[in-house]
Amino acid sequence: MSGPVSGPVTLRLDSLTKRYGSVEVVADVCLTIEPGERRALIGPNGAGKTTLFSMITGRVPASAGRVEFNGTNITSASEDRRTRLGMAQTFQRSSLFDGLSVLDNVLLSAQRRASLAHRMVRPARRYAGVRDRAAEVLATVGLEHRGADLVRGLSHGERRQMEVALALACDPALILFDEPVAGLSPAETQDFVAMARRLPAGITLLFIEHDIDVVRALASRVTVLDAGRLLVEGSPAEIAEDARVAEAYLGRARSDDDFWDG
Amino acid sequence: MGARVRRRAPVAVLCLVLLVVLAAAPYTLAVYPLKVLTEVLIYVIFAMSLDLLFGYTGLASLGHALYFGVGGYTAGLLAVHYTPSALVGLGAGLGAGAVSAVATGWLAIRSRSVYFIMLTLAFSELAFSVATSWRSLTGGDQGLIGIQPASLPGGTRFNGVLNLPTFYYYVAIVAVACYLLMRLVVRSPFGLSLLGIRENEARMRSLGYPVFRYKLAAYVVAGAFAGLAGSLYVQYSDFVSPDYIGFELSALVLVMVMVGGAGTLYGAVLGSAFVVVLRDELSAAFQQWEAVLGAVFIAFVYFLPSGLAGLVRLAGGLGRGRAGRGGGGSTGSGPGPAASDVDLTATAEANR
Amino acid sequence: MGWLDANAVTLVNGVAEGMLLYMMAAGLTLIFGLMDVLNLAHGAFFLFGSYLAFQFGRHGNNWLVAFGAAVLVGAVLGAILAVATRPLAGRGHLDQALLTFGAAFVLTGLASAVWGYGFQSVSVPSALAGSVSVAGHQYPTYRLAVIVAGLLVAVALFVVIERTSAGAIVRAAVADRDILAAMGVNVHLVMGLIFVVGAVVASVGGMIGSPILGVNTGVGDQVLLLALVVVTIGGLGSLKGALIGALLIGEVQAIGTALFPSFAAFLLFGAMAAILVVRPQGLFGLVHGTRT
Repeated sequence: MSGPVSGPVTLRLDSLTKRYGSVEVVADVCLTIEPGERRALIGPNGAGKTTLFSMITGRVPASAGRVEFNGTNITSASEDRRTRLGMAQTFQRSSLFDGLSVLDNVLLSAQRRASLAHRMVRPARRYAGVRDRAAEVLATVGLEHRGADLVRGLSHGERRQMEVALALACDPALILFDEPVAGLSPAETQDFVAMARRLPAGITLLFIEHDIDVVRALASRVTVLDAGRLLVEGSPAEIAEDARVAEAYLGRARSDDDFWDG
Repeated sequence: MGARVRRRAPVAVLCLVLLVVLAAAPYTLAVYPLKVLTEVLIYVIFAMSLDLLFGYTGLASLGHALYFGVGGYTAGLLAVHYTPSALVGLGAGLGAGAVSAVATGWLAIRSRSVYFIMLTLAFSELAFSVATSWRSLTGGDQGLIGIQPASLPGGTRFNGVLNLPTFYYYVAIVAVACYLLMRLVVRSPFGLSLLGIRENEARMRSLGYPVFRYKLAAYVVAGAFAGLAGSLYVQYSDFVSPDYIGFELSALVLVMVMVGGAGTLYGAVLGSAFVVVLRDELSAAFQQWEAVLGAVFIAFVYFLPSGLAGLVRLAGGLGRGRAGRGGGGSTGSGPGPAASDVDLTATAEANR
Repeated sequence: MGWLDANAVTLVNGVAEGMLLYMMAAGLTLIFGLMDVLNLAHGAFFLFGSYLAFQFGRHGNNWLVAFGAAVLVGAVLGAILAVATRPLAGRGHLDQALLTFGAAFVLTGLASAVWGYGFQSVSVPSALAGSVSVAGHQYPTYRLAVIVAGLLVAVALFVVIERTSAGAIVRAAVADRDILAAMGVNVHLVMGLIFVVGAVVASVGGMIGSPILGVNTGVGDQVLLLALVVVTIGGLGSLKGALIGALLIGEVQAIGTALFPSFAAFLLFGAMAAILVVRPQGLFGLVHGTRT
């Protein structure tokens, strides 16, 4: 519904830093993402990817630096305000409303987007626009047949789909996916990639991912983070050739980080 | 559509029967049971208001009697100094409950879980000591005296015995109206938002909800209905004392909600009826009635964790109320298709 | 100095009351920190301790028996509740609170069935009767003894929790409950033991406190309410917080009751509300109280 908003840059990070005591988890990261871009954020475990995400979404306050979203300085904006400005996120460990039905989960997202969430008189499901939007989103992620079921009873793969559905129902200009295919079967991973490729070109995507095939299939550009710092940025092909990236992964030599095995 | 009508029909019949029973009560009940029923109906409003906060929003308060008492004192003082009009007292109780809930909720909602519980307790204890020590206004721990009998619409007066049926109808109409209003609220987008906060507050924030405002709104709505219930109770008893604010009443109403089944309005109805009647019967029969009451609570925790409402769902396919159990999720895990089929179609149906 | 001097006896009374509160609060805060159980039956442990003092100590000569009985009964009641709350692990705070609330009703009813509803008094053991003169003031010997006993308990708990391997498990579990899952089977034993120790300390506190507070069925609830205030102020799960909170509330109670009797409760809950509004997790509360 809402495409890219005015301004040539969707997200701009300026010297973004997170310190815990004397430890810099994210140090001095500068990043610019253009509207409609599909950007992958990769790096070995502990590189600070999730912390960087949390600073962008506002869950964790930045220690220094600046976050700009669609031309607005949101460095000190609350998490909920950032979402209202057009940002949405999915979580690595899915975070849903377990005791509610699949439909109610998505309605929660859609009714807020429609600025109806505070209404107190008509039943929530009588708002046809919100309902239709929720049904549409459920169809997009492939859960249209599960609307009446409790989220608590969903499989891991379906929970990942719900994460995406909640984000999409926000009609965001920018979606941040934190390891969207973690723990999914190859078939489910394929489904996710196909779904993500079908998303409107106006939506900007920023995703953390370890699976190289997913990165190749989705990303237009790749940013590599290592030890909290921005290591290199380029097209997927350039990154694959880059010696520093290989070193960053091999230097740690733990097989579960082995990006290039993917 | 057909299926929905079929599922709803027994519920509609049940509601009709209940209304008829309520309407016929003054003709079928003696004075004492009618008084108990009147009292139960007032507690029903009070318990439903706490359920909105606890069962739906996940905010367990141990100081909810504060708003009941403030509503009661407001109605009582009005009746002493200005007017015996029941409706004026009712409106003033509602307003006083809401205003005091804004002031205290704004502070209390900043803390969480047990700290929230303790802060709500602290506010009610503070109000309790104000009510006890401000003798010139409240009459201190002796209670407020000189409350004129409530003057009902139409001009009849109620003084505890006189015109009890009329007063009963007045209470019953207010209680049914409150139930319908709160039912609207819990099914509205706002009500769904409250359930979202109960289930996963952090995620609500990431969906763009200013959670604090929603919690405060829930707190104020709950406080308003509690204030209304308090003013009704004062009109019923012609009396108000610091006990109307105290910890024991707060604990009692929380138990009503839990025993009834948090997160379902009809659970609050069942819970208040059960606890009031049980308390009356036990205290008449045993000297150690509190021990028996305690044993009943223990039995509920072990054997009936979703309260009387859970029993109703189990027994009669009444399965309404999409809200499951309040608070930390039940142990039922795994994607068991059987469980989700039975429970959840009803869940999804409930809001249409 | 003038004010301090004039109110020295009140201040010492406040410390003594604080020590009694600490003996309640220590168990409450550990049980909550470790097991996530807000134990509303904790006042019943105290209640039984005070009735046992009445039973065995009323003639002033059987205090050792009373002490032994308080330890034994506290241990048994604590063990029963530890077992009773185990199946509820993972359910909400309120379910456990309702269970312990029910248990408190049952235990209080039991006590009143045995000892009746009346107000009883217990006299101070003869060895500790009278008063001691320090720096020109007469202090009741018994209250000084209560302070010493409280300090002994505080030191003992501190040593066990901070210096032993069992204590290390407790500290780790309080700091991060998820760690329990990774820690093997004896964790349940440690949790049960903490429940028992907390109950014993509370019951002994009730026994020691009986000559000061009197004995009746309401004393458990009264002390429980104060102890809840204490652990909330101190931060749930923090022994240090319980001690400091207990001393603070003991003083607020003693000074309030002595100087502004009609505002004592106001001061007490006002203090708690003020602290919680400024620090929503208590003075020494850990972050897990506010976990999402």
